[in-house]
Amino acid sequence: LVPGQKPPAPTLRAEDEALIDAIQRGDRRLGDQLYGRLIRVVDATVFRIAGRQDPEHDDLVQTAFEQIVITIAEKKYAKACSLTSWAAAVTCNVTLHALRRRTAHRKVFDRNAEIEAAVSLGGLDVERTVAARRELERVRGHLSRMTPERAETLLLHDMLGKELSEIAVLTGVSVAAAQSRLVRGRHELVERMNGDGTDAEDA
Amino acid sequence: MTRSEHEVPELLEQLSEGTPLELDAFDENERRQRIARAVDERLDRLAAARARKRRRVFAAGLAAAFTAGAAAAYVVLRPPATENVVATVTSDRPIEVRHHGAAQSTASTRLEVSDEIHTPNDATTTAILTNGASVEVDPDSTVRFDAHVDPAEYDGQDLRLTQGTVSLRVPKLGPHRTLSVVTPDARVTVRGTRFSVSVFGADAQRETRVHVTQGSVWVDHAGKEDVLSAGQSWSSRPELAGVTGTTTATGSVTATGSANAGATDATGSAATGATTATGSVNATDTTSATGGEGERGAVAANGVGHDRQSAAHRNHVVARGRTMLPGDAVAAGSAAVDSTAPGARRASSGVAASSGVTASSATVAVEGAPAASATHADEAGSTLTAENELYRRAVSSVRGSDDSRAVGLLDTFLVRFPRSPLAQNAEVERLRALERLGRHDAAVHAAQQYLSAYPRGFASEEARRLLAPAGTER
Repeated sequence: LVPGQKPPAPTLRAEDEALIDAIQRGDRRLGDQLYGRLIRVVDATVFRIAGRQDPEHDDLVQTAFEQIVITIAEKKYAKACSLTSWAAAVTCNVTLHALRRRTAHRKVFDRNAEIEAAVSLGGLDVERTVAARRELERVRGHLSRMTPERAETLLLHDMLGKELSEIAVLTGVSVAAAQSRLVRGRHELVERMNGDGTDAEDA
Repeated sequence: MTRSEHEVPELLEQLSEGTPLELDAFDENERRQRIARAVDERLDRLAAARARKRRRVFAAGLAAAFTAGAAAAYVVLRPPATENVVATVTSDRPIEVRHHGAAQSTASTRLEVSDEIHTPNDATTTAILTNGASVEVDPDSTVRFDAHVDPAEYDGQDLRLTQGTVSLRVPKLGPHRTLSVVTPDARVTVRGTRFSVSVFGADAQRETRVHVTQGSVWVDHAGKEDVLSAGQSWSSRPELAGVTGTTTATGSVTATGSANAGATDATGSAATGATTATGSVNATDTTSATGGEGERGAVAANGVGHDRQSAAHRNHVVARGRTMLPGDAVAAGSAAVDSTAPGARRASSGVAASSGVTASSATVAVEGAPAASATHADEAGSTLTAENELYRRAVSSVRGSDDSRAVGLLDTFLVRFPRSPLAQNAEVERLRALERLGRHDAAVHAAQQYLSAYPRGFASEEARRLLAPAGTER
């Protein structure tokens, strides 16, 4: 993909288009249908970003669904990408927002403390596993502190596997800007992790 | 452990490893219902918000339509436009107001152009004109309020008085703005004064009288222009007013104790005989009346030709507080003044006798007048000759070091010909003469007037120097 190149024409499933039109018309009682269509992608996105044992998993899923409905009803979704991609992007945004909110309240580190407690109770394998998970939690913590646009772009690209062109559509910027955010996001994350690792080792 | 940017994708992929926890059927169903219900509630709220927005838009549209309708109704049904209103009248009793030919009885209303009011015998009305002038209309008077008929000359208003009496108090109207009272046989134009105009009788017996209590007015009558100063009266039928003149004279003036009335200046009349002579008046400065020149009253009468008045006669007139009426003089002739003019008979016979001329200006005695005004009669038609002549004489006085007389002549010039091409020169000569006379305050006032009228005039610097406080001049 060449930066600045126009993204490919979106392919929207017929049932997705009908669902979107119904929401935008103001039809009601679409909750069950929307849930059936998007629960997998929303659930997976929340799981990937927030982690397996996130206590607010279901709340995040519900919030993501409500946000998806709002953005579609307010016609922020211009059908320029698939409905699932849009749902993933919205869920990513919602989850990152939740992570940032938690960081502000130090809940991320509270969870690290829980992991430490698990290590003290298990054997060596458990210790390795927990160390790996601890590392991933540190990544989530850094993601929550990063510039929101960079973190979102990083997650959409490196975690959810979205193309830059699709990310450009999802985040409302040019492909070049999306690419720039991606590069800068990776750089910022590495800097934060290296700094954090040094601090941890020093500690 | 130091990481590189290449490791970031791999690290993030690790985050996404694994699959979400599978919920059992019960939990999954419970979650489905809960989220579906939340989504439906959200959809309901969005629909309600959308409905509210539609209602707001509808209300705004309705308000806009109502406003547009109200505006349209106002345009159609609005009261008379303010710009058409020329006066507001209030009366102690109902008066008759004619608007576009339709008469109505009211005690208070706004008048538009061409509206006419008639006061009954027991009502007095006050009209406030848009220019600030106050007009008191006496009982049994008829006045029509018109725009000025000659907009090329001045922007002003006409009060057409067909019967009765009106008294006016007029503020300063500003440059090129006039207010006139027009009677069937005269036009009285004012630029800031207090005066009254009356019309008596009808047809051949009709008479217009003007009395000025403050400022000055012009009276156009029988093709001639007279200027009345404070304290002066004028009648279109002096024989009826008992002021002066012969039985055929058609203009006269009386002065009643005005301190600034006086001076004489008769610049000729078109009278061709005693029976057709007309009278007119022009108030000037008393200082010129007391001057020693004897070239004033050029009045043609009975083929005698231009005549001269002696300085002795002039001084005598002023000293006795008389008003001279060239028209009367022409009609009466030098010796006939006393015998034919009632007003002249009241005058000291010595006046006429002292003139010693064959066709002198007649005089009218007015009790208690410390100074009298003089008269003149312009040539009918263009005033250019009169302007030039009057200005020439003023300049001659300046050159003859007779600044007092020059000021008087220049005052006369500026009153009679305010729009003359020579007006600026006259103002400059006047302020210079005043300064030479030591009348600094008057000179400063004249300088202010000059700068107001000609801010970039040729003598503006000179005028500003006059206005500058002492010691600041360079």
